[in-house]
Amino acid sequence: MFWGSTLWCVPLQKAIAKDRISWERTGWILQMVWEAVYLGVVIEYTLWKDWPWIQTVFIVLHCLVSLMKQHSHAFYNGHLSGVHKRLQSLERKLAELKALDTSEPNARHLVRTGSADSGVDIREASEEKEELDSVQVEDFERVIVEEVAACKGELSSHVEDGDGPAVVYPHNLTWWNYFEYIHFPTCVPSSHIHSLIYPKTNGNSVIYELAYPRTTTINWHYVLEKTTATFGVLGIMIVVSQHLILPVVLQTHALRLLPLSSRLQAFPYILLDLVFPFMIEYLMVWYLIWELILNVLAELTFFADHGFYGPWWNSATWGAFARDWNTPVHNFLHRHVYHSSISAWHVSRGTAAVITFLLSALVHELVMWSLFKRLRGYLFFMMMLQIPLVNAGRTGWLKGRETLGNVLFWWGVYTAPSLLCSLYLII
Amino acid sequence: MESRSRLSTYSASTSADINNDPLENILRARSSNGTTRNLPEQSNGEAHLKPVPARLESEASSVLSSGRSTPIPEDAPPSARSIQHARRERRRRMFPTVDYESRVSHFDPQSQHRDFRGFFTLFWIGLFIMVLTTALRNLKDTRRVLRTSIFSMFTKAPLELAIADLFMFLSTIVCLPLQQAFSDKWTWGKSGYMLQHMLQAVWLAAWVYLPFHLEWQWTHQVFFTLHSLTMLMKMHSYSFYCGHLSECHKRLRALDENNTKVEPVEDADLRETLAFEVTSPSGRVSYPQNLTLYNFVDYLFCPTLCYELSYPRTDRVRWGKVAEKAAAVFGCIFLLTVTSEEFILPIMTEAAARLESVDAYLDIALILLESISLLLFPFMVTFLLVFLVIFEYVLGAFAEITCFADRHFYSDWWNSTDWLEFSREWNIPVHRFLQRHVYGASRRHMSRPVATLTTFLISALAHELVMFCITKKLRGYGFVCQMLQLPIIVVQRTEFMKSQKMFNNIMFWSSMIWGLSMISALYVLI
Repeated sequence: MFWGSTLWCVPLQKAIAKDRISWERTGWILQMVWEAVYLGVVIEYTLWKDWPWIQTVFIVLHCLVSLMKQHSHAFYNGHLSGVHKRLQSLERKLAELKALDTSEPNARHLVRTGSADSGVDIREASEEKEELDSVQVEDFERVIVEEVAACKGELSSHVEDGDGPAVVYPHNLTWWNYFEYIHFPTCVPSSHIHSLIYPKTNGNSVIYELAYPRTTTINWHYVLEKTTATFGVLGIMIVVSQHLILPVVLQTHALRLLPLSSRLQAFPYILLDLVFPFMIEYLMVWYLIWELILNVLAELTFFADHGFYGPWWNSATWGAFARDWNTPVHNFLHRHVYHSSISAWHVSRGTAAVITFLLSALVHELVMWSLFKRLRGYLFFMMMLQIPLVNAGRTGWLKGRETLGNVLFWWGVYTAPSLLCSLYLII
Repeated sequence: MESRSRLSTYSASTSADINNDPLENILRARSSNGTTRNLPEQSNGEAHLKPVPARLESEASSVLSSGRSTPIPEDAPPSARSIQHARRERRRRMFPTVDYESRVSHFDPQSQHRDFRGFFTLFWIGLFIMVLTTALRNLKDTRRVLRTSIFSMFTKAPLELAIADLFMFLSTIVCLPLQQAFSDKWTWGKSGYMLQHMLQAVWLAAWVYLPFHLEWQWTHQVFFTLHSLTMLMKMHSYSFYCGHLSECHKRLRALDENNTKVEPVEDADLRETLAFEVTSPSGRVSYPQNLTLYNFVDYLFCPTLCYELSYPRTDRVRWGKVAEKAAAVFGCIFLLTVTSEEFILPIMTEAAARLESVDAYLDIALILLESISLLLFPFMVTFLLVFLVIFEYVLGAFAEITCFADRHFYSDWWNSTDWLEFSREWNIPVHRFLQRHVYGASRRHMSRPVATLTTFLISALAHELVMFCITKKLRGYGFVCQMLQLPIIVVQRTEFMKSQKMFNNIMFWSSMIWGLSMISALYVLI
């Protein structure tokens, strides 16, 4: 149901491409409203149905992923619609300039006046002379041709030899393209390395396109292996939580009735009892999602880029961890939050980083709320704490001390989940 | 320059191609003489394989010597000339050699294997938290931080252990005068090696018996026995290799009786081979100049069990690293003790108590199975810590102190897909020793499978000896399991199984985890 309802994005974008709705003015507002409604409905549904925490968290996470996909699809195509419009006006201008070869003085005046919309800066020339001579016309032609080439590059996918024809906006706005994209294990539809505004996705030097790198066959043995592993890992996680975590959690239920001081006294022991089980769960969850599920999805959708994470276990700084641990979401945040806030609101990079962390922390807190049904803000606080930690990591004192950085990182990862759970449960 | 020209004239008679570049003569593979020479079978004391055609490596000889050597006088015997030539060469030796290279160990921060280094950090932090948790739980329950039954064992009679250990170490010195005697007066080949065997047997028996006689506890005894076994291997390698070299040296000298002008080609080649044999890989030392006290003591401290005339060395001792490794040794031993105290000993004690009150086989089996399953994790952690403490930290510390450059004491045994691979990778010093002195020696008399069997047999017996010292029980569980590896290896080497790498690795780990726990529980409880 929720999956199907996201399909409305396609007609919206089609309308934008045909210039019936302008992205800059109304398109994006429509999209944001839709996203908010979507999220709200999903959460309300879980509350209404009073689902237990596993189902709730699953649907909330799935909804968030879907939301990121829609947002990325909409905003990227919205941007491309702007580029497309510019391309069209540039091409008109170029046609006009070419018509100037008949060297009619009227036409040159046309050029001058017409140039204001296209933004080609020939003001300098026109101030000095009334008319344009042929050299200047050639220069302008050349500039426009270059810009046209840049726009075209941005609007089409970069093709490697043998990958087939390039996909060009707006021809990518098909139902099938969207359907495929929804199932891809990625949150960004086709970045373009050559773009002027949208940044390169870092990490693997694979070039995403309006068409992604694709495989040609499905390795069913691989799919079977990963699917079996999924159920196996889920089984392990259930056993660990049942036998190692649940007893401790039940203890905390009794503790909730006690005053705060006794709760604080029991707190360290609860914490220590939870450290190892949570470490296991943490590693299992990571393996489940980023190594098993995403790889199965990629294999089934012929998606060739399996780079879903970097070597985050080697992180010596929190910045490296944030980049490596979840590549799809990192790409999404990097492009649609970090760079978008810089280009749309002209904030500095530091502020953009804060905004990104803020959004991420809010989303994490939302998930915590749907898990524990309590609004406490511990995870929000800890995630925002990463900002000073990242800055601290950037100063010189950790340079060359990679092992120390790694030790500190792992200490944090070890203690944080247990700490958070204990905090949420007890306090 | 003079030596080079002499060399080129020398080799002109034997190599088919002569280049203008004098170095080329030295470095080119001597394939023109590529027939395998069958040296007359030596006596049993020499454990070498058939000499292979000399294969020179095409590397610059500059690493071997400075290029400026003392010119030898005109009337020097041919053996001296050959030795000087050999100092510049690189080729396969008659006695199975160990190739040492300057390299760091796997877990060293400078190592190339850093893809999963974060998990190494994870391991240590996990252990640290384990200690913390245990300490806090103990504080809560018993008001004392840690249990001390095993810790207190360390503190009983440490001086006695230290003195005995020192004497054991010093008693190995008997090898040196023996070898000096073998180098000229006595012959190794005929009966010398028998003397050495007997000496070693008596030596080992004496030192293994001592802890029993003094009634030491198992911690002291196991340390002492392992140390004795290590010293035994060192003595054996030193003696047998030097014995072999004494034979080579004597034959080389014997060839001096030849008239070099009309010498047969075989003899000239033999001289080359022998000269190369008695020269060190670095080109700086020849037998018998190595038979000094300094060389012997240095070898005793080097973290290797195979004697070579020279090893690759680092420039200087980094005392910071030594301190770091020493601290790590004590840290690991502490962690081992805590693990044993808190997680192994209680289970064993309880199981032992319960076993006393039951008679039926089924009940015994159930108690055993339960103990084994509870011990799986602690023993796995113990195993990993023991591995690290010995092969990364103790050997690393000694390597640092002796400026020993080859720190490759283990490979990635955790990726093993069959038991033979595991045996090759998990303990490289012992593997090299066994390969050279046991397998190599056996191969002269037996086929490959039988030689492998013999090697495993000796290894299993040594392991069993250690278990006997720890538990004072002669049961043979470890022996059986280790010998069982051989038929398993046969299965693992079939075409089908070889391709199932992941499955093999899983089987390796499962049997490792389960096997350790099971063997220990069996020894202690039954």
